[in-house]
Amino acid sequence: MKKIGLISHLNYPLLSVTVLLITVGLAFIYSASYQITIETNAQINYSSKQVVWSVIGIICFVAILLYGYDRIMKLSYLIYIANILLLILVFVIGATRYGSQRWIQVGGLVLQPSEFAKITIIITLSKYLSMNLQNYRSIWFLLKAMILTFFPMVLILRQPDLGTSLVFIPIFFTMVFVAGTPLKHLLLLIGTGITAVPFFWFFLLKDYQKNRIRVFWDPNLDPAGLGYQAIQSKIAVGSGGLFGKGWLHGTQNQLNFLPKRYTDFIFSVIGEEWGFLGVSFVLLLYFLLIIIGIYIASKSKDSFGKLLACGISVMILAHVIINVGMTIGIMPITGLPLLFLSYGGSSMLTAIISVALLESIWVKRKYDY
Amino acid sequence: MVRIRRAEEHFIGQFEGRIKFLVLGIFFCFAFLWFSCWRIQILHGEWFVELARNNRVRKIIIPAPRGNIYDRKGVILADNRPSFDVEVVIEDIPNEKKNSIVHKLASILDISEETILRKIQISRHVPYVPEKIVRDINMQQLNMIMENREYFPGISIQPTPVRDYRFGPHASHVLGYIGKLSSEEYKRLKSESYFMQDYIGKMGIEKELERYLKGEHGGMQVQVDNRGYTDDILGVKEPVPGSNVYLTIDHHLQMYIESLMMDHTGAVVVMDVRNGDVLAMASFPEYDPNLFVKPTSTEIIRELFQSKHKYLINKAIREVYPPGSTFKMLVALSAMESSGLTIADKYYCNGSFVMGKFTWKCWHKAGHGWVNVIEAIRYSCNVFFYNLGHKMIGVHQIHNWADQFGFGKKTGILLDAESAGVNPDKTWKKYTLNLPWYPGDTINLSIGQGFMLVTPLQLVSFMVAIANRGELLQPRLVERVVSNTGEVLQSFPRVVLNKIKMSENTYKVIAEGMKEVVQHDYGTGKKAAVKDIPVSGKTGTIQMGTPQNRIHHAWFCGFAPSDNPEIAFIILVEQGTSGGTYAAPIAGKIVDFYFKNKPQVLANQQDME
Repeated sequence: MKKIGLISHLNYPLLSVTVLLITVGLAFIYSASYQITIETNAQINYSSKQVVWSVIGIICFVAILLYGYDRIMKLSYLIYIANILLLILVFVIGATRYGSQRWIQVGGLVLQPSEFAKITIIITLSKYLSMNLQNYRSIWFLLKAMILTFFPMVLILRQPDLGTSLVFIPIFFTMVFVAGTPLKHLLLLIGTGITAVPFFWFFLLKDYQKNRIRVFWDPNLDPAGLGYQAIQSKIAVGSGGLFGKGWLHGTQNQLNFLPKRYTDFIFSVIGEEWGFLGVSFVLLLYFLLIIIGIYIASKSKDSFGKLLACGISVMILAHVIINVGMTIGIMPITGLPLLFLSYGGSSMLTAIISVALLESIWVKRKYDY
Repeated sequence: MVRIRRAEEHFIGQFEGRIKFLVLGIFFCFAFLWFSCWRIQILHGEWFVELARNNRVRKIIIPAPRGNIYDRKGVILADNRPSFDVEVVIEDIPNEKKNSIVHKLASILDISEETILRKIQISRHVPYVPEKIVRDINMQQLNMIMENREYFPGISIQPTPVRDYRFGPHASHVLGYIGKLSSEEYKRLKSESYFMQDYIGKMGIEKELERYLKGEHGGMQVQVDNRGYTDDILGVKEPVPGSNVYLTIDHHLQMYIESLMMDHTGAVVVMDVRNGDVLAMASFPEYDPNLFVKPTSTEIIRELFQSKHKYLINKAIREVYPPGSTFKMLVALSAMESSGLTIADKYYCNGSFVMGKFTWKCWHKAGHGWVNVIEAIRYSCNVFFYNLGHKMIGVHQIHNWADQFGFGKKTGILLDAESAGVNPDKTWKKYTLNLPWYPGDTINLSIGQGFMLVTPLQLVSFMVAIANRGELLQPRLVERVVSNTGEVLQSFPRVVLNKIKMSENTYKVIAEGMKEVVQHDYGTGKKAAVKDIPVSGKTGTIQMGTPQNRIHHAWFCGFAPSDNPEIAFIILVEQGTSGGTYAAPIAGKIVDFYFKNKPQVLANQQDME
């Protein structure tokens, strides 16, 4: 019963921000899928499905909190290998949708291992870096971390899922940066990376991914196809103005001009229906969430906790930048959900697990159980 | 262990420093996102509001049905029927589905995929404006598309009223035809609420009364979803249908004339002597104005415009011919009125007329002997008129009298592209040919050959004027224009163009001459005779072209009944070698038909009142 005491030690600001974000998410999944719900006579109701995922998320949250992040650390490599195996399994039995193979169906649940891979790599890197802190001056400190990141990232890139694999890059760099890698090593790596860009362009990116990037520079290259999404999303957000058109009253949303609007493009719906005020509110919530994450990192009692909290914060930050960026046309369109808001079980679980880990670090700081 | 603890301490030390950079980065990222949202939502917000509005709000034009055209008895000659047109809005077709949609559509509509793709290309020029792929599809095609609507995003069926010329080529030169606006017309007229795919009258009544027939297009603002399907109607402006036009044309008479002239080229005009109503006006060959409304191959359209048959030329008002012998009444009339010619004055016809080293022949080589003016008209004796023109009156006088009867001037009938013809005199020849007027020119002119050129309509007006003892009427083609609510917008009164002073005696002589043309045993127009109805008339045979390539056209003009004229007519049969043989019988049949069917005409008119 000692564990009950941790309730009083939870970080409540973090919890409130999370609950607010999930609530906003539910409201806008409801709005974005409103027409679908009507058309199918409520046979398909994404917002209630998301409630189910949130409940599953809460169970995970409690489980992780009770188990503790420090015990999870001990399982890091196991989790890492298990996740790699899942990613390989995706290629064998994965379901293909929108031209990529990302999902594994278990009973009625559809899981996306690449979503969890982000948490996995953060845990793994935190473990590796914190165990090898004494070698920070060595270039191998950096290279081995890079190799660890490389395996899941390439597997995900091959699915193909450009958006998710892109998230790995800021996570990796931030974590090795705060772990103390000498700046000259980092600069060397970045320099090498930039020189490798043409290699990526010619050998690794698939044609459709290249087209997305081309269309990002000029959406009018294909206004009815690829550019359509970019243009329509920008129109949706832009036409929201200061106050928005009102919940359930966005014309871009309700008249079906926005594709993928309850998943990757949920932010466009918020922008259209709640306007600049709503957008500012949501951005503020994310900002608070991430800053609290960094604060927890700074207060954590051990290096693993610090690295983990930093990694998680940066992961959320990367999602926000890539996702919001693509809905307002300052980033290319890559299929990446907006954590907490977008519809989707795996991304919801990823979001809640992230918060659970942060809470665990916060609580364990002075209250061990 | 010490080393590890020292590493840990070093880590903690540098960590605090490095996360400050991280926090700075986070601040920067959010500031940038926030600024970007501000930029598109607030700074450029109105622009995107406009774009979103364009996305969802389409203006659909509801074309006004064109006004009907009726004949004098209320028979519909032109009205509208629904045409189901297939339209495309390219922006509504998902790119990946484009090929399959085009493929399916091509098989249903039985046209090539390239045709559809070409239309789609055109549609790109103006975003969100539907472009018609195929007009006027049949019911089976319509059903196939409507049943599979969900497979055809961006494709819609638009029922539009299209012109229907009920009787095909019937009265086609009077009705005219409509066609799509040319780009110049669109530029000129778009402010007058014409739209780009709009039709406009291009010829005939359709052109002349365009302002009445067109009506006022309505419009509808609709909210559409991403597939272009109407989600909500935001506002409707009902179209105002065009006004109806009642012609003076008698549908049955016109129909009968068309059946008579089916195998000929030429023109026929029948006018009511009393009020100038044009009862029938036909030019042959006719064309089917529906061809300009229906989907028609460009070859056929090109044939219509460029063929030597001149399908689209209304020969009754546009083409000019020498009047030939039909002009002799005018010469006789002017001689009697201005130079004192009487029936006692005779000239001897030995078959030719000699002046200096030139010889002019009479059509009857043996000659007509001594003839007076009545006999000269009856036999159509050329020599008599050569003498008259050369010795008695001269070009100036012929010109003045012809001018009084409206030759060389447009009649002002409500049709486009009317020709004025040529009423020559010395000044005219000097001005156009820079040559002096020779006495031979007068000799030619006195039998209606040479420089004199008239339209069939001018000749029939001349007949009307003679029958009216000098009252020249403007040919009246339109009786009234009635709005859709029944209000008479414009009526067309009887217009007297000129009252020509003409003595009773002169009238009697001319009328007697024309009567004998048909009714005398040796008259040249005997074949125009009708049982029970006395017909007056005059034949004419004209020569055109070069001596090596001569063509003859046959005229017959006149009026009936002789004593109390009701109708006047002109028949022109091109390539007819003699007016008496080719044109006169047709005139007879027309007169016969008209008077046999007259009671019905009257009864119907009473019905209408």
